[in-house]
Amino acid sequence: MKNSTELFDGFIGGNQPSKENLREGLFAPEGLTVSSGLDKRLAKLLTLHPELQIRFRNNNLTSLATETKEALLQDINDILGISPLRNE
Amino acid sequence: MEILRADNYRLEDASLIELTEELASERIDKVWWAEANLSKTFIAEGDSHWKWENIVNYYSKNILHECVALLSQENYLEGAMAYQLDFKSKIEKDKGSLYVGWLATAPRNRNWLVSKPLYKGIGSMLLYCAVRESYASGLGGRVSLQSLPTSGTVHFYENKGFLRTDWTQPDTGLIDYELPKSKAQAWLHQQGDL
Repeated sequence: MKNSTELFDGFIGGNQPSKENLREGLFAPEGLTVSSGLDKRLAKLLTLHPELQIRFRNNNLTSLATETKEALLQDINDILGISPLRNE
Repeated sequence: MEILRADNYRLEDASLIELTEELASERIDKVWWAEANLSKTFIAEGDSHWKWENIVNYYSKNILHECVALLSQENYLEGAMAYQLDFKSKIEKDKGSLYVGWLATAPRNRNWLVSKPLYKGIGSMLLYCAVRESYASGLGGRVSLQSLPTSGTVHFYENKGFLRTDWTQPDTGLIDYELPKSKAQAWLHQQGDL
């Protein structure tokens, strides 16, 4: 990213969006405790895609092992069509 | 991730970190505009009055809100951004978009404020991080924002594929833009992330 149309060095925004521009009905799963980056990613996905909360309703994040959470994230990504980003 | 040195055009490693209220207060609010080589004329910059501590406080109350900063190898916050993930796409009905509410490059990296900026493209790198976050959150990479109507800024957004979405709204002096999914994913491909 080297030429001037590829580079931006200023500032953006400074305003809150109005309520009518926000999606309604997005609620974090009840009793959610976020204690890692993986938890946060799962929590955001479950909140943004409410249909997933029905599908994974028995999964209380706090009680799951890391491996189980990783498998859950993989399942969710598959459902939503999210490919892993290479440079994580 | 990597950021571009302005003096030799070499890429250097940098980290995207979560911005806390303490970091915002100590490393942005008390530092960015207080550096000795910045003159009073810079007070005219539109973001010089922003209090990042307050922004972080507001954005810390919701799982869909986030504040991040780019930390260079010099242990300096080169830019910061606050965004939220619950914005409605104006291009694709019933889809969501990531809304960048606040984004700023550290004044020492703005070439119209200092004679020798340290890094170039900090704002574009933060915006790219927003695209990545939107994609990883299942929003397709869509990003929305409000821009000043300056020619350089408009040229940057439109070159990246952002589309104006404010044609039917009252004139606020700002331009509403949205990066559609196709352009966002093209950017991710171009950067080797997809």
